[in-house]
Amino acid sequence: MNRATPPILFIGLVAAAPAFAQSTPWITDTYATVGGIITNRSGRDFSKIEEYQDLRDGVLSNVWSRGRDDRTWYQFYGENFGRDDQYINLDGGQYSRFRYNLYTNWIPHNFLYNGATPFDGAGTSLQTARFPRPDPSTWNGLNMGYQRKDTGGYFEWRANSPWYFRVDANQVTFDGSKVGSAALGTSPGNGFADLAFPVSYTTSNASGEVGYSTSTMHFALNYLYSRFNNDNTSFQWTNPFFGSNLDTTYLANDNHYQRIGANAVIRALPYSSTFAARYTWSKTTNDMSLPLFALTSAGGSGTGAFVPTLPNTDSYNGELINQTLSLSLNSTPIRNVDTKAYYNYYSLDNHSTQVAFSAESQIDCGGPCTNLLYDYRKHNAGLEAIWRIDRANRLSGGWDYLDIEQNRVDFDSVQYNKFWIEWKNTSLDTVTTRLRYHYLQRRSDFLLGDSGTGPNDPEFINRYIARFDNSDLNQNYVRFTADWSPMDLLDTSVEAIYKHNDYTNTVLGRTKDQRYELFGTVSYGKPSLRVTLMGDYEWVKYDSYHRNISDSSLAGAFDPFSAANSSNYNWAATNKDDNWMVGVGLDWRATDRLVFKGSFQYFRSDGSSDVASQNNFGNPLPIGAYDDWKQTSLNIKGIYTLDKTWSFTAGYAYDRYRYNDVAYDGYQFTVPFPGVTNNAGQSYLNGYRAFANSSASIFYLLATAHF
Amino acid sequence: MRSNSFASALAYAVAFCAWAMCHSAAAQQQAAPAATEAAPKSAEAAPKPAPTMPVCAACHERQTQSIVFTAHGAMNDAQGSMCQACHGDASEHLKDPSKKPENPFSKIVPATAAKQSSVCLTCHVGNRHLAFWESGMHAKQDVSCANCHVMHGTEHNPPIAPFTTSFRPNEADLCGTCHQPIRAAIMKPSHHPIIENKMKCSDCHNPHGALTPVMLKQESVNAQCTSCHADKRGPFVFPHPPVDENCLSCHTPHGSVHYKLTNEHVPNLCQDCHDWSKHPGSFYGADKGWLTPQGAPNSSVSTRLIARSCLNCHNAIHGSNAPGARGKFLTR
Repeated sequence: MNRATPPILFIGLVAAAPAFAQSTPWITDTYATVGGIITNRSGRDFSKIEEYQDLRDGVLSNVWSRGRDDRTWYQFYGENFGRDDQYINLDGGQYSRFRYNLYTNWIPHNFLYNGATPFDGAGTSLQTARFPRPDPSTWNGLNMGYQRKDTGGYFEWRANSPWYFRVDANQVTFDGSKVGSAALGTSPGNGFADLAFPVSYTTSNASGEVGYSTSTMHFALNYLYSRFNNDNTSFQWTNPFFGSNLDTTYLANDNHYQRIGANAVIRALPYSSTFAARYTWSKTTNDMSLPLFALTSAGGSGTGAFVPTLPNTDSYNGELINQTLSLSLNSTPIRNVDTKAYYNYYSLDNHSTQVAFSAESQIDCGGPCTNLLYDYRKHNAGLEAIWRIDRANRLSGGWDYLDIEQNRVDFDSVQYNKFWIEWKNTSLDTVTTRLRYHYLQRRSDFLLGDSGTGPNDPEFINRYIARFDNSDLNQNYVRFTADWSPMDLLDTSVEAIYKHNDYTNTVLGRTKDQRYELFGTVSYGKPSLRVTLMGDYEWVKYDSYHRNISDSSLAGAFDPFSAANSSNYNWAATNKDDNWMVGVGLDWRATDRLVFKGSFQYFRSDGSSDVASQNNFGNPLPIGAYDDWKQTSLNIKGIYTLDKTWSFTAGYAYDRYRYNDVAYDGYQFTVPFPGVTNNAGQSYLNGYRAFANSSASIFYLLATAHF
Repeated sequence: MRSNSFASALAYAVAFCAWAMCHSAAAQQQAAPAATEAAPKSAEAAPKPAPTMPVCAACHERQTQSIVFTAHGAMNDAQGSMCQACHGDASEHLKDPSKKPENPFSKIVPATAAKQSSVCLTCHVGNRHLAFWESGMHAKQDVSCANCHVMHGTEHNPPIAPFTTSFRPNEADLCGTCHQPIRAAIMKPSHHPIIENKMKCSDCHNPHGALTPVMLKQESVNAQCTSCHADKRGPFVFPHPPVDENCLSCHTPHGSVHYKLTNEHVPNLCQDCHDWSKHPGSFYGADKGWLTPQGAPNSSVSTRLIARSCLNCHNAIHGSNAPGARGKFLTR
């Protein structure tokens, strides 16, 4: 959509609107704002501050307008016209006849400013370089990011109520580049290269719905079609490890998605019951030709040759069928008791091509490379009840059961049982408290308990690796909430959460994780002075157990219960995230004409990774800086109302990011560093996330006309 | 260009329809005088009546003015039928102002949430987005329509948020008054663009009720995520099974201190599932970063820890279409 289209559309609709007027006049209310913004930035890479917005110096603008007569109405809002974060939305219609919506929403997503890359054509489908290039000062500058534009709308016809018809359509485009990288060789010691992946996506969606909706029932049928198109399903780049030949990275392929849905709701059943149901069937498909050649070593580091990949078929046809069925019955079987019974079914059927790249290929997997066609069946059922004991007390509880049958190499069957109870009390007029507890138990059938022939068989370790997303689990969760209004205009709220996951029977993998969270808000609301205070503290810990195997020839290498030695030993990790935030918001009506608004917020997180190994083998050293953030945000503005027509706003904002992490502190653009000319496995980096410390001072001045 | 062709076509189609309806209405208006021969034929049009103001406005002017531009205002009449539809029969109140109508939205003695919602649902129950209201968590948790939808306007608590270039109200400020952990999460360094007002809570959740857990609009978590992230739909030749099963195995959608909304720092997130000889099972500690613990440049830097860690090589983490081992091990 070009930038002239929305204004043309808006003007056309607004100009047309008076023609709809019948006996009452068309009334409108419009605010139009225009002004300027200036941003002073510091820091090499301030993409974090501008991650999702356009802070370039220039014009800021917005228009808010609404209008109606006794039949027709509209509401329009647009802001940042002509900027990368432009947003325009128009709603309207005729009462009880139809309504429509049109919108366009532009979102920049900035990843990196002032990076560097040895590649020419970064972010395109062909990225070349003359290697070795050990000196980053000779590289090209690099910015990474893309622009997302979502444009669409809907039209809903209601004049034949209780029937309604609705069509939705939108198109989302992405243009630019995004963060990526690729291994240079086939071994972890062969290095990697940061790459700017080309992004040129278009997703087009269209849906239609027809429904019948009354106070006692609702039925609807809907159909959605979505097509994802990628202009770059692959791109080529110079790989120094393979003789500076052109290697290929494969990106998401075009896909088509269709969904049919049916909804049904029947109310006013016996016992004040409402029955609701939904069924969906969806299909995702894509087709591609399988690559018949791949770049690999021609016999030594720094050499390359294209070898046959030897697939069992020339093409891959992907097809996923998803079905869901949801049923819900809400009732009031006896006075003061509400119940809900529900059932959900989910299935994924994978009809994609079973692909196998021959073990004879030079890019084999130590055997043939075959794909896993993952599918599942999930059955979920539950019961809930709410007992309103008296006016001040409410007790609720429930049970939820989930059964999963799936095609997965480690767990093929998983069952969840969750029991929960909650008490809500409002005995005191000014206090509301809620206390909730749930216990969740997950039990799974582990398929790899007999893996491997013995402790020196690499497959043997699979007996002990339990992946946390499916492994046996006991979870305890407690949440307490209290809302208190001790006096007029003063509200306070506190919420505390404790969550503990114990991955029982896990030898290797995540064994435990815990979370403590505490939130508080105080707000004071006198018309001339409104203040909000907010505080938040969160502490998260992950425990895990692992095995380091450096020499697979030693006895018991793949058995975590074998005696530890300096090459093969177990180690335990504890990762912690400790973060907190405080903030204050203020609205102060200094005079009848002058209002000040302000907000200050400070966020800090400290992460760490502690480790202990058997007999301290390997002398693992803990990490003290692990996603450590400090963020300071200040936002103040004054609004002066000159008269009924004009008001003026002046504002200042300050944002500051500080980031520390072991993976980025002391960053270099090559590994090894300084760069060398005799290592085909030298890694090349581009500075993504490395120089994120930045700040910005933002000044803006706006004039608003009201008419 | 593709964005111009689709979006412009859409916009001009609607504009054309508007013009056509305008033209049609105008033509009808031109024809109308022939049917009303008694109407004055003077060139100066008769003054048009002002929008109808209900009798309630005599005392409750602010509240009446606050709905003038809404559908409630449009459907009101001199007797204040729309006012009474929500606030109760006011016939006695008109005779004696001290006799208040049975107002379920009274701030002094409010009715139960269910009662308040039933007032709104009297008219709005047929709206498609309310189809699953009874099944939703808000109905169950005694959240009424009036908790979120304020008909007559009110002063809101000042929001606490960094500067953004958007000056319109942020839906998350409303949802966050109850959902405090979520409100805190969206402020974290890695987040969806909610505080920037480029996304809102109702883009993923239907606050009016849904059958999907946590009131997602789509039928499952993955369907919800891929409704925007269509490039992750696949299917990929070599998938990563936890991706197909549940995006939340690795990601937390509201906000994280870890990049790309992941639950845990990489490589630990990956190593919680992957353990093998050599590098998957190795520990990457402070002696593997760019600097030694003493702060000097480290000659033993490990590419499995620095920068994006495992993703430096295994970039195709959501699935790969590459051949052979490049696809199987997600390195291309």
